[in-house]
Amino acid sequence: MNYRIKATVPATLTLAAVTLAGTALLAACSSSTATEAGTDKSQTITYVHEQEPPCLWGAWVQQAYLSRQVFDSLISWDNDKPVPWLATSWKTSADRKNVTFTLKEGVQFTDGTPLNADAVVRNVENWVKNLSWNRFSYLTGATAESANTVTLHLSEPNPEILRILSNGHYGIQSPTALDKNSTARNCQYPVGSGPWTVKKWTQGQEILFQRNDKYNSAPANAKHSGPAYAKYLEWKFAPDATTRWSALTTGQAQVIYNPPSNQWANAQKNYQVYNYITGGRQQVFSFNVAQGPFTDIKVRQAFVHAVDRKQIVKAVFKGSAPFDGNGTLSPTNPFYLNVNDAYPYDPAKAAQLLDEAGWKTGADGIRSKDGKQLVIRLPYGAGPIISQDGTAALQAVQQQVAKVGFKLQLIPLTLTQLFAGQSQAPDQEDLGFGYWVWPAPNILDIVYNAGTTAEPNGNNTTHFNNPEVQARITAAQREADPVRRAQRYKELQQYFTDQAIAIGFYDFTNNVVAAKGLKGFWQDQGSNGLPVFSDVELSGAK
Amino acid sequence: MTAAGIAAALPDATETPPARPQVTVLLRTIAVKVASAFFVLWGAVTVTFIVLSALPGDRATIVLNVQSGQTTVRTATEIAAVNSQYGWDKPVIVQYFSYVWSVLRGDLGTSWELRRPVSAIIAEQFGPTITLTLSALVLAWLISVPWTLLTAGRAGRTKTFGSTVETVTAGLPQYWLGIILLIVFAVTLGWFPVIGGTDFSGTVLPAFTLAIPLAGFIGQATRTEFDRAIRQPFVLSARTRGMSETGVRVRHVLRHALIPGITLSGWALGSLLSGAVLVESVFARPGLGAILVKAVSDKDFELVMGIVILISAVYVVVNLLIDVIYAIVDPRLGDTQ
Repeated sequence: MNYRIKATVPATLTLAAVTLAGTALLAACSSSTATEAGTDKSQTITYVHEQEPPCLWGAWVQQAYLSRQVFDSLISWDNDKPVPWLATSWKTSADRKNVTFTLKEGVQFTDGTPLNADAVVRNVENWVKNLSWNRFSYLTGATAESANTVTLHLSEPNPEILRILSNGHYGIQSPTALDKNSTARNCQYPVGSGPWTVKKWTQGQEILFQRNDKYNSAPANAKHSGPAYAKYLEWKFAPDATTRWSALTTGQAQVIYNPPSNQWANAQKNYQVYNYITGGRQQVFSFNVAQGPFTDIKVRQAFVHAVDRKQIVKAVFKGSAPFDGNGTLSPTNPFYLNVNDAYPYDPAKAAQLLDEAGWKTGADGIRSKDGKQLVIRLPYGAGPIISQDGTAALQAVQQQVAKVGFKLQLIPLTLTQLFAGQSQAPDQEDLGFGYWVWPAPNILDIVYNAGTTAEPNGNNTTHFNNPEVQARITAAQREADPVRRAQRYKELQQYFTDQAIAIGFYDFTNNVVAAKGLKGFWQDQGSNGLPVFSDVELSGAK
Repeated sequence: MTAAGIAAALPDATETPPARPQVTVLLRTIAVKVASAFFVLWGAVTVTFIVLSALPGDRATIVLNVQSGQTTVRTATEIAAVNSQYGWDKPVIVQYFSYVWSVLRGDLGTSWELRRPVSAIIAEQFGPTITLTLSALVLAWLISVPWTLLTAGRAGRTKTFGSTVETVTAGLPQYWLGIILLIVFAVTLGWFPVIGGTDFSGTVLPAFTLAIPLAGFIGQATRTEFDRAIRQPFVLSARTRGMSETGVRVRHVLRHALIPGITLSGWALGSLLSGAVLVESVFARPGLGAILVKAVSDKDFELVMGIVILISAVYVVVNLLIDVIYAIVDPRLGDTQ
């Protein structure tokens, strides 16, 4: 028996020595020419993203990032106008409820299925069924007019339908794959006509995309037509910002998503930065106007005056996300109204408004009225909705409003609570905070529509319920004259600002940093700023 | 796997001839071990099911929000549709029995979130996780045994130094340690890739991140026992026989000191699995840790339970192995079993 132990210990030490030697050996040969996926580094773009969605396509913005690589859309958005992609031309009917698209000829999905009107009809069915918020696009179905003309039907006129369709969620898939492949297969290895195909998805690690060598359907605003320059796109997932940044600085990756904000200045100096402000509405405060202290406009305005929003955003985000005072619409959307000078930082004004509203300062510095303290509950989604920096910004708000007598309670929600929609009922939340990505101004209808008593609208976090204003929103959306329509939407933004129902804080940005000298990277202009890699040339990257 | 564990334990049982015929004892031992393994698995499944069901948060709302990237309150119509699609409108007890029945038939179900069979997800993620946890465990032993031999049971300063280092390393937060190792060895020195994948070079830093604090724990446990054992009469007698200091430490004292460390290793496996979540996040490494956390927060029952069954099975096997190792290290324990 003694023998076993004798043999074990020296063996252990030998093993330790071998491990150390192995480590040293490895150090000597780490500058290999292959990527982790085993592809040739000189032909592979390595991009490091943050979150990994469960499926390659779907209604979550994280899925649009991926679908954009594999699917083409009907149209592409080029700053302020639609440009041809799979559709070469389009025409809106007189009642503005039908849009007819003529399709590009000779396009094939990577499984050999041809792109035609029937394929588009099948995809519209798929969107209507699977994109849970599709109803806000008013798209209800499609009819094939001929082999390569197809009409999309809307329940309401929607001048922004082209913007919406150019967004990565509305990518076109092979109808054969949709009908014949399993759900799991379509999730991980869907078939499109885009510049890349999924070669291997290693869950928790990366997706390896391979070039579609027959690619002939690039959008009109791409930097070149034909197949991608690089042979592979290695798309890694790293939830930690320091890890992503280190992958870029060590040269393991050429492009990364969201760097840590304390590296933003450095990134601007030594790398190429891309900073896309998403459409919809930004990171905004939604005041509960149905119950609690914020039913009084003076209290809402006092809250905003009490916060030095511009300074906090500057200090926390260091330029990686700009201040935005508009709580209703993003600067990326049409008809955006700049209200950045409304409610300047003015604690004296805030105190005066609270006095007028009858909230008296108590011994502990917290105001109260009729025996109730001025306590504001703010449940928020730490993590996927509010980043670490966002949490720091909210804590700064908490300190500043305390000076005028608000007790702001920041209540972080677990992911389960967050996705279960908890703490959003009017009696559980006095103040909401978050964003909504959407390419069209009818975001107002999404976030301010009260819904019905039986089926209230869950997106309405202010619990705003005013039929007269709702009628104005509907009228703005239906207005046929573009000038009057812009006017109506701007008046509404002014209304929601003046009433302090939702007030902006900072922009929700998609930040990308690329190696210096890397040519051809760009962000899609639909509403999400999706990264496009098919024009990237690796040769110049340092 | 259970049977293999028993078979390995057998030679010790045969050393002392039992009163009853060997085969009966063997069969009875196997039966008891297998039955208790099943009991543990059943218990794990049941408790997990109850906890998941009792956790607040409506499953249908979670499905709707996760699939659309929203966090809103859903209408009754939307919720009813999802509940009927997944069969969640049935009573919880019915759902429980139908789940247990399908597990007994070998079907772990499908993850609603990843839309793939749970068995396929586990098969894919088990490799990286087990590689990481086992290499961390082995590394922890490789670090702590020589350290204990060098510093435990020595005079004042050396002993204090050894034990202080262990206390400090045992308390190192894994997330922080991971970032430090990443910055030093991957970014500054460039010895390893920042995002390494699952091959050897990608496993070194994550394994060290988990192993260093664990080595501290194991070291503390073995040290206490080592200090006690080195004062025992048999040590004195070995010394009087003229045995060298190293010989005494390695052959006699260490063997006693290993027992608490081995016991701790069984526990450590669970701790490594939970620590793996943070390490997987820092090093962007695949594995069951991150998947389990996501599945729990999304109340993805099938996936959570599949992983729980697997981890429980690993525990059962590891504890059997530990019984065997005890018997090897300390024959007295083997005799009494």
